[in-house]
Amino acid sequence: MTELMTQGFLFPNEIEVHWSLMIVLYPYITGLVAGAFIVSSLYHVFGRTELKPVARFSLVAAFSFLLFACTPLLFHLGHPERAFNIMFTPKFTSAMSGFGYIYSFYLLLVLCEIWFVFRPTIIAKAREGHGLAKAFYWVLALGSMDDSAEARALDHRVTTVLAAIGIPSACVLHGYVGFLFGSLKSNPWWSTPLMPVIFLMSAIVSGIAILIVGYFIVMKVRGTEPDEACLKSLYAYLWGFFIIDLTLELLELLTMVYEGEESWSIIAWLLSDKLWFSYTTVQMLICSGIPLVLLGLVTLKKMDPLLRNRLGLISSALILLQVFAMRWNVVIGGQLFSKSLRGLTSYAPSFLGREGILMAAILFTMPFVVMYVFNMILPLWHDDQPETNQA
Amino acid sequence: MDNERRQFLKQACWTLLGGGLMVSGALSIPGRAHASGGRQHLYVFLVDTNRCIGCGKCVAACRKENNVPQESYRTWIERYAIGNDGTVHVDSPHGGEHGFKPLPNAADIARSFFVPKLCNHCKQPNCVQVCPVGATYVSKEGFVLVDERQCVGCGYCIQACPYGARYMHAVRHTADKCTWCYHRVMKGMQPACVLVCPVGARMFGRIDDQRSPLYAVMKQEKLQVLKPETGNEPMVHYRGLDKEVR
Amino acid sequence: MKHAAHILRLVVVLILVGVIFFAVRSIMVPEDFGTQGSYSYGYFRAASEQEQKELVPVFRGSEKCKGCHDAQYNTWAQGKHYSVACETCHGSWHAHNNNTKDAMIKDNSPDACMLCHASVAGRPATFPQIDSIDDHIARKGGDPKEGQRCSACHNPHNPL
Ligand code: HEC
Ligand code: HEC
Ligand code: HEC
Ligand code: HEC
Repeated sequence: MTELMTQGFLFPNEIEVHWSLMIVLYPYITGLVAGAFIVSSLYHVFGRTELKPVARFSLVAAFSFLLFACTPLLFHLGHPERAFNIMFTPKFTSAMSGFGYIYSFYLLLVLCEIWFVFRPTIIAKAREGHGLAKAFYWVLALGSMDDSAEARALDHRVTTVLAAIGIPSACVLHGYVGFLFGSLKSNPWWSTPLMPVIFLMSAIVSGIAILIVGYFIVMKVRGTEPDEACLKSLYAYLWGFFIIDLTLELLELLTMVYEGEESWSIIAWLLSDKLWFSYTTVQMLICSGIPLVLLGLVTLKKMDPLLRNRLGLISSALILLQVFAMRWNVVIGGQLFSKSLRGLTSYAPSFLGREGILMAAILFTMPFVVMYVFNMILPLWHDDQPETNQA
Repeated sequence: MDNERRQFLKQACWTLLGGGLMVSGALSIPGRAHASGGRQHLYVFLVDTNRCIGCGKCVAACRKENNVPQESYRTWIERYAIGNDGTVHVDSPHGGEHGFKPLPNAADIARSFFVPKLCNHCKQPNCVQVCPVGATYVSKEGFVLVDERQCVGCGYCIQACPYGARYMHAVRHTADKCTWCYHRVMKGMQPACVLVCPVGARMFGRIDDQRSPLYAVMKQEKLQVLKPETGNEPMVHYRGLDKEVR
Repeated sequence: MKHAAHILRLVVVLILVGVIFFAVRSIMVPEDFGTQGSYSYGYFRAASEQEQKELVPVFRGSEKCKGCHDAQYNTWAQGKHYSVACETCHGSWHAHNNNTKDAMIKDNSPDACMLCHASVAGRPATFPQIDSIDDHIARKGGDPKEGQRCSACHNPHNPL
């Protein structure tokens, strides 16, 4: 069977692909975190007030994805029960060892920011609630019921500081994932200093895209009209970041082609064979070309809001796919060719099983469940709550 | 008022940061005592590609000695057959464990030879560099080893090894690889693959041991290593390595 | 300052989280971790080195067989198979541990010899090889039909 799966020669230990669908999902989810957080920071730090309608949503989306960003890794580890070794005995010569601390730091940071942003809501809930609910909100407020104007002004400033710290942290969180791949000299498909930047850009792009899609869905469910100014701004950001992202991706490829090093022949074979569909067709042609043009139209041309939103939604969905394909092509693609540069192997995720498609789908759905539950505890949408919040 | 608050915030931040750093500093940077660690790289493994007959006894013996799971290889043999037209055919059926079959178009072959492979126990091993939890390390004697009780099974080292020498142990779910038979060598024995090699294609010993057959070869022969460009400084030396071998 | 009380509480909670983490960490990390010098390559659980040293060797080398199988040993030591260890053909000593004679491999089929002696692309030309069993036996004056045991003419312990 293994003979059927492989072409050419591989080292005998390379026939099986070690980093599975879960490792594709992991950078995808962290990317969404980083992107969503950047959007919330555009409002909190850079004062893009038109983004206010999605400011809370984006922050909570970042948090929900962050909660599940590490689960694919746990499902992949040979010994998930030893996962904390990465924080107990981290060895900082490894790009991966930063994960535990960066991740925890960032999780705490986002939690704190959420706390400050939602504090007035929590306090209001604690005041109007009864019995157990009251106690719950009281604990959430850490027993401090101070929502005076001074306290809120202070909260506002802390939020800004946290969001400001959060931007570089989000960049580190995702840039590090890129570095993890980009720093492996053993793999010519990964080893490029551009990798962290590409990961970062595609992260921002995917984060904005999922916010747009999520915003539409929520508005549909709630039966409210989406905020046009907010959406227009999101489209513009999406377009801008996507142009940078795509340029870098193409630049990386161009450099490889042009330099034509020893490894290029196997990469050319890879791209024209195993990755023909997922890279060449999906990532580079369909899911890049179409959104690039559509978003350009959406941003530059005056058009009917309905049409604009349709085009914007289609572009966002395609970009979500593009980024997923990019993660797939990096993670899986990098393992499909032999380090002897003489052969290719295959990978198809199983449906069931610990690292299968079903598990990936469940893990990817969980953040949305978290968002739903969060919304029940603390309403995400401004019109649902006493208009007290200025953050 | 405002200033006061800012002051307070600042102080709170610094206290938190400083405290955290101090605690982590105290706990996480042990081993300052002897910084060099007295690590030596005196052991060398020598592969003579001119001698190997591709019988696969080494692969089988390694599996038995180290209880290597099926489909995983701590050592394996590759066969290169370079055609008259320059085409390169490489094969390694079951890592060469059951020997090799004759090739169909033997007349078109310009040169062909076997190349045994194993962990290179590099001086600058990037598998050790990338291990996030300190589960793989270089022993005092220069052997690159894996601590199966510490390994989390992330597979990063497997990706990092330029030689494909590492695999995920199917039973232990930790990274695993050739140890140069550390347990044997430390008892004064030869690695199992060296012991069973019928033609002396594998040699092992200390560079400073004049009784070792390796000593003479190291002195007289021109030697090569695999992928020197990685900067890993492999300690498996090859005699008669062809340019096609990667 | 009055309105910063909640921030102070948050900071206390965060510090508490940190303290708990480092307390757990100090319990979980083995004493001997990272005591072996260089951080780059010596950051590990020191006991692991010892654990690996204590693994039991399976192959023992031809000298091990000498005392009990002097006859075979002496024939072998003078012959062309001297470079081939006993355990290369007979499998590891480990199986033989309690002198259970069944445990050792004793394969005198032609395939066992042909694993090394068949002429296969890749073998050095200087190594003695035979293209076909039938031809070889016929050429050496034997009858290829008759079972084709190499040991009819060659003693595996001293083939020439
Ligand atoms: C402690 C003594 C001892 C040592 C050491 C020893 N053997 Fe044996 N071996 C025996 C005995 C006893 C038998 C059974 C003889 C019999 O029944 O004819 C035997 C039988 C065998 C047989 C024949 C099995 C058969 O089916 O006829 C082989 C092959 C063999 N040994 C190989 C080895 C090799 C190779 C070694 C070295 C690694 C070795 N032995 C070391 C005691 C020993
Ligand atoms: C080239 C492979 C080879 C090597 C090397 C080899 N043997 Fe054998 N040995 C055989 C074969 C084949 C037989 C079976 C002979 C038969 O059945 O006629 C055998 C049989 C034996 C037997 C069973 C008694 C007998 O003569 O039938 C013993 C004991 C034995 N070998 C011991 C040793 C020892 C000890 C060594 C190392 C000094 C050794 N062998 C090395 C191939 C080998
Ligand atoms: C593990 C590999 C191996 C196996 C199995 C093996 N041999 Fe050998 N044989 C060798 C080696 C190595 C030599 C020595 C070659 C040299 O001197 O260059 C050798 C030499 C010989 C020679 C002498 C050739 C010459 O011209 O010097 C004969 C004959 C021979 N073997 C026959 C056999 C027979 C019969 C068997 C099966 C019982 C057998 N061999 C099994 C490895 C093996
Ligand atoms: C009829 C007896 C006979 C049989 C059976 C036999 N051989 Fe030989 N073999 C010889 C003779 C005779 C030589 C030549 C010895 C010499 O040249 O000094 C020889 C030589 C060899 C050589 C050395 C290379 C060469 O061609 O000279 C090898 C290897 C060898 N035999 C392997 C085998 C193997 C393997 C088998 C079993 C498949 C086998 N022999 C069966 C008689 C036999």
